[in-house]
Amino acid sequence: MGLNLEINIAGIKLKNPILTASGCFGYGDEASDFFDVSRLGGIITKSISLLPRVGHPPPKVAETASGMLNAIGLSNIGLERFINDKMPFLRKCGTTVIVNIAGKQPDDYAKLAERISSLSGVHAIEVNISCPNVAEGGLEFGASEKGAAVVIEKVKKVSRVPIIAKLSPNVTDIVAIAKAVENAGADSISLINTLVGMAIDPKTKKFKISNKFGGLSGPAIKPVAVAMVYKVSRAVKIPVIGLGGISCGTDVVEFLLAGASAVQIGTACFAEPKVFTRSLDELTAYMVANGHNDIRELIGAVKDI
Amino acid sequence: MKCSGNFQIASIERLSSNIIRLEIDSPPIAEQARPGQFVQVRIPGKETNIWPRPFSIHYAGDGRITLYIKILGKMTACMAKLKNGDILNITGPLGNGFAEPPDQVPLYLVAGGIGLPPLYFLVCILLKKGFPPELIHLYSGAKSAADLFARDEIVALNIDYRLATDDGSCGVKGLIVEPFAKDFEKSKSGAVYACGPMAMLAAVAKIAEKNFCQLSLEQLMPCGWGVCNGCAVKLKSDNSIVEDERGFRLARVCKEGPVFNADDILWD
Repeated sequence: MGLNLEINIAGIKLKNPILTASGCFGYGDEASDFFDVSRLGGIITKSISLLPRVGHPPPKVAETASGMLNAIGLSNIGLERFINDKMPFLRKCGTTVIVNIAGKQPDDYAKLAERISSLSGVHAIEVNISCPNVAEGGLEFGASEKGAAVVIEKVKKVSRVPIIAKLSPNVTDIVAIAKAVENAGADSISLINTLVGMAIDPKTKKFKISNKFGGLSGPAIKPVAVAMVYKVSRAVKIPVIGLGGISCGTDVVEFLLAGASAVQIGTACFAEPKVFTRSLDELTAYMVANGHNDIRELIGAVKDI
Repeated sequence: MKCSGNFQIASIERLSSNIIRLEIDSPPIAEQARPGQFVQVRIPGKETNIWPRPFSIHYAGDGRITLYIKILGKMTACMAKLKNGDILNITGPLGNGFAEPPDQVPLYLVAGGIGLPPLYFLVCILLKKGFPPELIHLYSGAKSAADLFARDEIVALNIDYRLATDDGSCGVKGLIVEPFAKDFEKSKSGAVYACGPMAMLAAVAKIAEKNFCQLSLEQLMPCGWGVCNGCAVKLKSDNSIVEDERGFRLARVCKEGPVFNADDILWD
């Protein structure tokens, strides 16, 4: 008998619950230098915008205690080049492909969703309404119930594939936002994007990154993410994808127990390109050691003390 | 296939208060390594610093890579305490190496501090391929004698080798760019390679002017394999890749670099 690691999220079948987090895995092609990407549960691309974006000037990153700040500024090659240069690889990568989109206006998101969801080889769209680092778009929509719902409704109306709404932790009540995107038609929710942070160098008295503010990621934010996954997964009916500081198989288990149906790994892959496959092996070993045959037995199975 | 895994330290040596020399048994990396490429290194079990640290490859052969490491922060201080047989996690070889010189022209290689390794590796490979040693001029500068290293290895190559230190404790007193500038003025032609602090690279690029000139850049580097975009630097706009009205394009030091043609770099 084999273990079942397969999971259904919003009508798409994942061969296992481990996905790559947007913005941390390029367009998927770099990683094939290191491992067989078809072992991934799915690839989530970096955010694609209608036009190419340079993003913020350097320095864009700073290392912090058990984490890092980034303000990349959604730099990407834009929709047309993404379709021409990157989709051919993704079409034959051997796993589920989820394209992340970002716009300045709700209509930008709709245009992106309409075009991308019609491409062969795209299984779902993740909507970035939570980037903390851009002046227009991003968190502007994700910070309010109304703003988030407007974007998701527009995208949902035109998309031929399931929609995942990626939420920000930089809000007063993430449950309210989650309910709003669920009501607007989102098929799934992923959380959390980065937490707004800042770092200053006492030697130079300057900000460590050019954008002043950056998004905090890495193990430092994991407890915040687990708490939000727990809260949101109990408040909505659609499946929740958890992310934030995951760097090993037991971290994956923790998110599943909290209520996530799948997870994304981001920052940890910078130091260790093969963290996805190692975590998958560790997750499998955990299931064997604890007598679980099916990954679904773990979802939301946290017990009271 | 690039490699990411655990490898054993074959030898570790503290050369001065600032510098350590490491040889690491890593056949899959050593076989592929080219001059100008780098590896990302971290110490398993020391994950409070979540980024690995990038180091240029000083030499690769017989299944080993050699690295010189300057002790600058917590991570490098921990590395200095390692012993023969200890394990390091290494990813590489990463980035693009140097292009070979266009011809058998005089070569000028300018190293600032810990920028020496990729240039040393390049000289070794060119000599192996039959490049005449009398055409090679290597300039190695540092703050002080304690920051200079690999001197015996360079002397053994029988090339023109000049030293400079800021405090005059070894070689001429002053910046290493000065002796290079003087020599280059005389010939006004040749191929130039440099690795070191940005200010030094900018000065070298200005002196080299229209000649073949390749520079290896250093940047904070969360991933080293092209996915995070954190190490991007500004290049002159060329209408080919992502750009906007600000008149520059960004290139990842880890992926498009770390070696760039001096002409392409947009100096601040």
